[in-house]
Amino acid sequence: MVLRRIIKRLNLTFTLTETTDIARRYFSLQIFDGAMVGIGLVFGFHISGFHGYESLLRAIIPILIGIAISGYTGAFVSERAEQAYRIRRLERATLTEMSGTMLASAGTQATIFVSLVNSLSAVTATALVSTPYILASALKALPEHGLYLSMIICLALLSLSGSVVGKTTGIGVLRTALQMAGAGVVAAALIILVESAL
Amino acid sequence: MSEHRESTSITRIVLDVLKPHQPNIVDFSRGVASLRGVKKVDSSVLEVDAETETIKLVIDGADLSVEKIDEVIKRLGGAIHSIDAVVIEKLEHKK
Repeated sequence: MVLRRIIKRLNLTFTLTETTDIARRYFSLQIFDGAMVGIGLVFGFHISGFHGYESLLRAIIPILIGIAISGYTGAFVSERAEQAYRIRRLERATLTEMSGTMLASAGTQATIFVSLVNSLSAVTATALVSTPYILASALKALPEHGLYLSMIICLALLSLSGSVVGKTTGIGVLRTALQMAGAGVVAAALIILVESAL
Repeated sequence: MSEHRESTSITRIVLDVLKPHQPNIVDFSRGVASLRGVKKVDSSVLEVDAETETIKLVIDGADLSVEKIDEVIKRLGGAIHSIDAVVIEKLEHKK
Protein backbone atom coordinates (compact mmCIF):
# COMPACT_ATOMS: atom_id res chain seq x y z
CA MET A 1 0.00 0.00 0.00
CA VAL A 2 2.75 2.44 1.03
CA LEU A 3 4.98 1.21 -1.81
CA ARG A 4 2.15 1.68 -4.31
CA ARG A 5 1.63 5.22 -3.04
CA ILE A 6 5.35 5.96 -3.36
CA ILE A 7 5.41 4.57 -6.93
CA LYS A 8 2.32 6.61 -7.82
CA ARG A 9 3.95 9.73 -6.38
CA LEU A 10 7.19 9.07 -8.27
CA ASN A 11 5.29 8.52 -11.52
CA LEU A 12 3.37 11.76 -11.04
CA THR A 13 6.56 13.69 -10.24
CA PHE A 14 8.42 12.29 -13.25
CA THR A 15 5.43 12.96 -15.53
CA LEU A 16 4.90 16.52 -14.30
CA THR A 17 8.54 17.40 -14.69
CA GLU A 18 9.06 15.37 -17.88
CA THR A 19 12.07 13.63 -16.33
CA THR A 20 11.07 9.98 -16.94
CA ASP A 21 13.43 9.65 -19.91
CA ILE A 22 16.22 11.49 -18.10
CA ALA A 23 15.99 9.17 -15.08
CA ARG A 24 15.94 6.12 -17.38
CA ARG A 25 18.97 7.41 -19.30
CA TYR A 26 20.88 8.16 -16.09
CA PHE A 27 20.01 4.68 -14.77
CA SER A 28 21.24 2.97 -17.89
CA LEU A 29 24.44 5.03 -18.21
CA GLN A 30 25.34 4.78 -14.55
CA ILE A 31 24.73 1.03 -14.39
CA PHE A 32 27.12 0.75 -17.34
CA ASP A 33 29.71 3.05 -15.73
CA GLY A 34 29.41 1.42 -12.32
CA ALA A 35 29.76 -2.10 -13.72
CA MET A 36 32.84 -1.06 -15.71
CA VAL A 37 34.46 0.54 -12.66
CA GLY A 38 33.64 -2.60 -10.65
CA ILE A 39 35.16 -5.00 -13.15
CA GLY A 40 38.18 -2.72 -13.58
CA LEU A 41 38.75 -2.83 -9.85
CA VAL A 42 38.32 -6.59 -9.65
CA PHE A 43 40.76 -7.21 -12.51
CA GLY A 44 43.20 -4.72 -10.99
CA PHE A 45 43.07 -6.53 -7.65
CA HIS A 46 43.37 -9.94 -9.25
CA ILE A 47 46.29 -9.14 -11.51
CA SER A 48 48.20 -7.23 -8.82
CA GLY A 49 48.28 -10.32 -6.59
CA PHE A 50 46.75 -11.49 -3.33
CA HIS A 51 44.91 -8.99 -1.13
CA GLY A 52 43.08 -9.68 2.08
CA TYR A 53 39.39 -8.81 2.01
CA GLU A 54 40.03 -5.95 4.45
CA SER A 55 42.35 -4.20 2.03
CA LEU A 56 39.84 -4.83 -0.77
CA LEU A 57 37.11 -3.21 1.34
CA ARG A 58 39.38 -0.32 2.27
CA ALA A 59 40.00 0.32 -1.42
CA ILE A 60 36.40 -0.13 -2.59
CA ILE A 61 34.52 1.82 0.08
CA PRO A 62 36.21 5.18 -0.66
CA ILE A 63 35.60 4.56 -4.36
CA LEU A 64 31.89 3.90 -3.69
CA ILE A 65 31.66 7.07 -1.60
CA GLY A 66 33.37 9.03 -4.37
CA ILE A 67 31.02 7.61 -7.02
CA ALA A 68 27.97 8.34 -4.85
CA ILE A 69 28.91 11.96 -4.18
CA SER A 70 30.06 12.61 -7.73
CA GLY A 71 26.88 11.04 -9.20
CA TYR A 72 24.55 12.93 -6.86
CA THR A 73 26.25 16.31 -7.10
CA GLY A 74 26.69 16.28 -10.87
CA ALA A 75 23.07 15.34 -11.55
CA PHE A 76 21.71 17.63 -8.82
CA VAL A 77 23.45 20.75 -10.14
CA SER A 78 22.49 20.15 -13.77
CA GLU A 79 18.93 18.99 -13.05
CA ARG A 80 18.24 21.88 -10.67
CA ALA A 81 19.29 24.31 -13.40
CA GLU A 82 17.12 22.44 -15.95
CA GLN A 83 14.08 22.56 -13.65
CA ALA A 84 14.58 26.26 -12.88
CA TYR A 85 14.77 26.95 -16.61
CA ARG A 86 11.62 24.88 -17.24
CA ILE A 87 9.71 26.82 -14.56
CA ARG A 88 10.89 30.18 -15.98
CA ARG A 89 9.77 29.05 -19.46
CA LEU A 90 6.33 28.09 -18.12
CA GLU A 91 6.06 31.37 -16.22
CA ARG A 92 6.73 33.28 -19.42
CA ALA A 93 4.20 31.17 -21.34
CA THR A 94 1.39 31.42 -18.78
CA LEU A 95 2.31 34.88 -17.42
CA THR A 96 1.84 33.55 -13.91
CA GLU A 97 4.07 33.04 -10.89
CA MET A 98 4.84 29.33 -10.58
CA SER A 99 6.36 29.23 -7.10
CA GLY A 100 4.03 27.42 -4.73
CA THR A 101 2.46 25.38 -7.53
CA MET A 102 2.67 21.60 -7.66
CA LEU A 103 4.90 21.98 -10.75
CA ALA A 104 7.51 23.88 -8.74
CA SER A 105 7.49 21.38 -5.87
CA ALA A 106 7.55 18.46 -8.33
CA GLY A 107 10.61 20.10 -9.91
CA THR A 108 12.43 20.09 -6.57
CA GLN A 109 11.44 16.48 -5.89
CA ALA A 110 12.41 15.37 -9.40
CA THR A 111 15.85 16.95 -8.98
CA ILE A 112 16.42 14.85 -5.86
CA PHE A 113 14.99 11.64 -7.38
CA VAL A 114 17.00 11.96 -10.58
CA SER A 115 20.19 12.70 -8.60
CA LEU A 116 19.57 9.63 -6.45
CA VAL A 117 19.04 7.48 -9.55
CA ASN A 118 22.29 8.82 -11.02
CA SER A 119 24.20 8.22 -7.81
CA LEU A 120 22.75 4.94 -6.54
CA SER A 121 22.74 3.15 -9.91
CA ALA A 122 26.51 3.49 -10.24
CA VAL A 123 27.16 2.66 -6.58
CA THR A 124 24.93 -0.43 -6.74
CA ALA A 125 26.53 -1.66 -9.96
CA THR A 126 30.10 -1.22 -8.65
CA ALA A 127 29.20 -2.87 -5.35
CA LEU A 128 27.41 -5.78 -7.03
CA VAL A 129 30.29 -6.48 -9.40
CA SER A 130 33.02 -6.29 -6.75
CA THR A 131 31.13 -8.19 -3.99
CA PRO A 132 31.81 -11.76 -5.29
CA TYR A 133 35.55 -11.09 -5.47
CA ILE A 134 35.60 -9.62 -1.96
CA LEU A 135 33.48 -12.50 -0.66
CA ALA A 136 35.79 -15.06 -2.26
CA SER A 137 38.67 -13.37 -0.48
CA ALA A 138 36.79 -13.23 2.84
CA LEU A 139 35.73 -16.89 2.62
CA LYS A 140 39.24 -17.95 1.57
CA ALA A 141 37.83 -19.40 -1.65
CA LEU A 142 39.72 -19.43 -4.91
CA PRO A 143 39.98 -15.83 -6.17
CA GLU A 144 39.26 -17.09 -9.70
CA HIS A 145 35.79 -18.14 -8.56
CA GLY A 146 35.13 -14.62 -7.32
CA LEU A 147 36.55 -13.19 -10.53
CA TYR A 148 34.32 -15.35 -12.75
CA LEU A 149 31.23 -14.52 -10.70
CA SER A 150 32.11 -10.81 -10.83
CA MET A 151 32.46 -11.08 -14.60
CA ILE A 152 29.07 -12.81 -14.91
CA ILE A 153 27.39 -10.12 -12.78
CA CYS A 154 29.15 -7.41 -14.80
CA LEU A 155 27.94 -8.91 -18.09
CA ALA A 156 24.40 -9.23 -16.68
CA LEU A 157 24.41 -5.57 -15.58
CA LEU A 158 25.79 -4.41 -18.92
CA SER A 159 23.09 -6.40 -20.70
CA LEU A 160 20.46 -4.89 -18.39
CA SER A 161 21.78 -1.42 -19.16
CA GLY A 162 21.68 -2.16 -22.88
CA SER A 163 18.22 -3.69 -22.74
CA VAL A 164 16.85 -0.57 -20.98
CA VAL A 165 18.27 1.59 -23.77
CA GLY A 166 16.95 -0.80 -26.44
CA LYS A 167 13.49 -1.03 -24.93
CA THR A 168 13.01 2.72 -24.60
CA THR A 169 14.46 3.68 -27.97
CA GLY A 170 12.83 0.79 -29.82
CA ILE A 171 16.18 -0.19 -31.41
CA GLY A 172 15.98 -3.77 -30.17
CA VAL A 173 16.65 -5.13 -26.71
CA LEU A 174 19.01 -7.92 -27.80
CA ARG A 175 21.07 -5.70 -30.07
CA THR A 176 21.76 -2.99 -27.48
CA ALA A 177 22.26 -5.57 -24.71
CA LEU A 178 24.90 -7.33 -26.83
CA GLN A 179 26.55 -4.00 -27.69
CA MET A 180 26.89 -3.07 -24.02
CA ALA A 181 28.09 -6.55 -23.05
CA GLY A 182 30.56 -6.40 -25.95
CA ALA A 183 31.93 -3.12 -24.58
CA GLY A 184 32.48 -4.93 -21.27
CA VAL A 185 34.40 -7.73 -22.99
CA VAL A 186 36.56 -5.17 -24.84
CA ALA A 187 37.25 -3.35 -21.56
CA ALA A 188 38.22 -6.61 -19.84
CA ALA A 189 40.58 -7.50 -22.72
CA LEU A 190 42.18 -4.03 -22.58
CA ILE A 191 42.63 -4.25 -18.80
CA ILE A 192 44.36 -7.64 -19.11
CA LEU A 193 46.54 -6.37 -21.96
CA VAL A 194 47.62 -3.17 -20.19
CA GLU A 195 48.09 -4.82 -16.79
CA SER A 196 50.21 -7.63 -18.21
CA ALA A 197 52.35 -5.12 -20.13
CA LEU A 198 53.17 -3.24 -16.90
CA MET B 1 -44.25 33.74 12.88
CA SER B 2 -41.69 32.19 10.53
CA GLU B 3 -38.92 34.34 9.09
CA HIS B 4 -37.38 33.80 5.64
CA ARG B 5 -33.66 34.24 5.02
CA GLU B 6 -32.24 34.17 1.49
CA SER B 7 -28.80 33.20 0.29
CA THR B 8 -27.26 32.35 -3.04
CA SER B 9 -25.16 29.45 -4.16
CA ILE B 10 -23.07 28.96 -7.28
CA THR B 11 -24.07 25.64 -8.85
CA ARG B 12 -22.27 25.95 -12.17
CA ILE B 13 -19.30 27.94 -13.35
CA VAL B 14 -17.68 27.93 -16.78
CA LEU B 15 -14.01 28.95 -16.89
CA ASP B 16 -11.47 29.60 -19.58
CA VAL B 17 -8.14 28.38 -18.17
CA LEU B 18 -4.58 28.55 -19.46
CA LYS B 19 -2.43 25.70 -18.21
CA PRO B 20 0.90 23.99 -18.96
CA HIS B 21 0.73 20.61 -20.76
CA GLN B 22 1.49 18.87 -17.46
CA PRO B 23 -0.52 17.97 -15.43
CA ASN B 24 -2.63 16.69 -18.30
CA ILE B 25 -6.34 17.47 -18.60
CA VAL B 26 -7.32 14.31 -16.69
CA ASP B 27 -5.13 15.01 -13.66
CA PHE B 28 -5.97 18.69 -13.83
CA SER B 29 -9.72 17.97 -13.79
CA ARG B 30 -9.26 15.44 -10.97
CA GLY B 31 -7.47 18.13 -8.98
CA VAL B 32 -10.39 20.53 -9.46
CA ALA B 33 -12.91 17.77 -8.74
CA SER B 34 -11.22 17.08 -5.39
CA LEU B 35 -12.60 20.39 -4.10
CA ARG B 36 -15.45 20.25 -1.60
CA GLY B 37 -18.85 20.86 -3.19
CA VAL B 38 -17.76 19.97 -6.72
CA LYS B 39 -19.94 17.22 -8.22
CA LYS B 40 -18.85 17.23 -11.83
CA VAL B 41 -16.03 18.67 -13.93
CA ASP B 42 -16.43 18.76 -17.69
CA SER B 43 -13.18 19.79 -19.42
CA SER B 44 -12.30 20.28 -23.04
CA VAL B 45 -9.17 21.54 -24.77
CA LEU B 46 -9.78 24.63 -26.87
CA GLU B 47 -6.27 25.43 -28.06
CA VAL B 48 -2.80 23.91 -27.84
CA ASP B 49 0.41 25.95 -27.97
CA ALA B 50 4.06 24.95 -27.63
CA GLU B 51 4.18 25.25 -23.84
CA THR B 52 0.55 25.69 -22.84
CA GLU B 53 -3.03 24.78 -23.63
CA THR B 54 -6.30 26.61 -23.14
CA ILE B 55 -9.10 24.54 -21.66
CA LYS B 56 -12.75 25.14 -20.93
CA LEU B 57 -13.81 23.92 -17.51
CA VAL B 58 -17.47 23.45 -16.69
CA ILE B 59 -17.75 22.85 -12.97
CA ASP B 60 -21.03 21.70 -11.43
CA GLY B 61 -21.72 21.39 -7.76
CA ALA B 62 -23.28 23.00 -4.75
CA ASP B 63 -22.11 26.22 -3.16
CA LEU B 64 -19.00 26.47 -5.34
CA SER B 65 -16.32 28.87 -4.16
CA VAL B 66 -14.63 30.84 -6.94
CA GLU B 67 -11.71 31.65 -4.60
CA LYS B 68 -11.13 27.98 -3.78
CA ILE B 69 -11.36 27.00 -7.45
CA ASP B 70 -8.90 29.76 -8.38
CA GLU B 71 -6.56 28.58 -5.62
CA VAL B 72 -6.57 24.95 -6.78
CA ILE B 73 -6.10 25.97 -10.44
CA LYS B 74 -3.09 28.10 -9.45
CA ARG B 75 -1.65 25.22 -7.43
CA LEU B 76 -1.98 23.02 -10.53
CA GLY B 77 0.01 25.60 -12.49
CA GLY B 78 -2.94 27.12 -14.39
CA ALA B 79 -4.48 30.58 -14.56
CA ILE B 80 -8.12 31.59 -15.01
CA HIS B 81 -8.39 33.74 -18.13
CA SER B 82 -12.07 34.48 -17.80
CA ILE B 83 -15.28 33.40 -16.14
CA ASP B 84 -17.49 32.74 -19.14
CA ALA B 85 -20.73 31.66 -17.47
CA VAL B 86 -22.17 31.15 -14.04
CA VAL B 87 -25.38 29.67 -12.63
CA ILE B 88 -26.51 30.92 -9.25
CA GLU B 89 -29.39 29.42 -7.31
CA LYS B 90 -31.29 31.22 -4.63
CA LEU B 91 -31.76 29.29 -1.43
CA GLU B 92 -34.48 30.13 1.03
CA HIS B 93 -34.11 29.20 4.65
CA LYS B 94 -36.99 29.23 7.14
CA LYS B 95 -36.13 30.43 10.59
